[in-house]
Amino acid sequence: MTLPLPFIKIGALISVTALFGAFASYRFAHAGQWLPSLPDKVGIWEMTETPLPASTLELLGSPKATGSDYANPFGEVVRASLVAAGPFENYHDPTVCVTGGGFHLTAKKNFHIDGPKSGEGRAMIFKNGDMRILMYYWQQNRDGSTSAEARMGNYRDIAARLETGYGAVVDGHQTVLVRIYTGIAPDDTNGVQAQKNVDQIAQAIYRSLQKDSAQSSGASS
Amino acid sequence: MWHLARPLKFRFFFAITSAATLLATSGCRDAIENSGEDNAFIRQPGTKSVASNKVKQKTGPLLPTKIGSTWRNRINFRRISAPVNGNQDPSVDDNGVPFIEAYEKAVMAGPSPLAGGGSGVRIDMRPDMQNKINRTETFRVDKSGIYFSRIGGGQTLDALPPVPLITYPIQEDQIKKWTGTLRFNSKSYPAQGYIRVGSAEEVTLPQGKVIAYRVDTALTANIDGRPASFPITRWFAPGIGIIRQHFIEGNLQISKEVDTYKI
Repeated sequence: MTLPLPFIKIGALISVTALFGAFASYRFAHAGQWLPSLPDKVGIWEMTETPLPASTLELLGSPKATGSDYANPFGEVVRASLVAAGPFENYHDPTVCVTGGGFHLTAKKNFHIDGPKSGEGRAMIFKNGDMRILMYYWQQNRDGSTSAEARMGNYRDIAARLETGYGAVVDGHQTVLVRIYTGIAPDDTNGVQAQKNVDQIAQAIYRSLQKDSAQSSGASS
Repeated sequence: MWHLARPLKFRFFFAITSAATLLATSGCRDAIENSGEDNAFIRQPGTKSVASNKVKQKTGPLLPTKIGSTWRNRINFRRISAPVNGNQDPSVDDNGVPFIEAYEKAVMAGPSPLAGGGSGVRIDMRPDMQNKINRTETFRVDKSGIYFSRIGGGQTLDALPPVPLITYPIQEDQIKKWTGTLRFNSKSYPAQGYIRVGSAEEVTLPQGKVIAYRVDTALTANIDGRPASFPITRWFAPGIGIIRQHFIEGNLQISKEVDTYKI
């Protein structure tokens, strides 16, 4: 007994879709397996591990993640976190997450993290009354490349989402989401010192991630 | 006519549909991209501020030592300790009484001996409308820079050797480490500290806008095995002196800012 041709075609289509789905799931899971460590010390900054709250991780789909506070002798603190990015839900953009707590986005600028030839990041200011937070955000791929656009902000990010899917499934990218932020003290005119502090930590973390990328590519070659 | 209009229409609609397709697939950029009401808060890393360039055109000592120079400071208090009686408001004291803005007059008194030898200059401070000096600050000021040496008044604090607040030529963002001894009244404790000269910035005073260097100092003494920190931030303006200070005393954050001055 032979199946009618239309059934065979549909069956083949379902099988291919299922196989692709399984392959994509595997590749997305693989994408979220890279979680490098953060530098212990950056100049006069000492690092203390501060794991991300369980509620935050739950919101992000429970990815692998690490968080740290960098404190200097002047009592200033810069917080950094790395979130291993697998499925799309890990990619919650700060412009969506942070604005939930009474803060709203008041400035956004793209910049090169560590000099003109380095990767691109995004700087943002979130404001709530007189309080301001300066945050740097970027997606760092294990091949050393970065990107700064929102991957899961709103419906407008569809192209960036396609890029994420293509990068994870086809190119086999492994990615971490980097967030580095600090509060801007009231006596810090235009947040000059806050940005210098965030710059220092961002550059050190970027270099550390680049080094990790270079080592892993050296190990695999 | 049609032959002429058709290509034009075609081009027009082609352009419109292409643009729409591009927007739909690439995502509209947010209106806030590279802008926003707080745009001034984000600079390209490594760029010098406008104030940094302006301050180089200013002349005059960062701490004028002319005897009789006066600065009238406005003083504000904020509570920093854990709330007492559940009152979270930092603008009231532990009893719930609002802090009142105060004024003091600081006068350059002239040469004064330093604890470790040598000579410096002393600034005397009196609460407004009072003749009694309640605080003094002594600095070593010479060609090499400005060094903090002593706080006097009710209790005395000596730094041995004097702490370099500013050294010439000024290098913005330079962090210096200091190791020495802090002497409270007559007891000495090993101490260390960091001093950071930040970028020049524009500060608005009642007499107008001035450009000043922000200098952060964090001294830590080891007192009976426990670290005690003394953070203080000062703003030095060329030709005027210390125009603003923030420091902690007990459970209070104290801010002083020059209201009027005469050099």
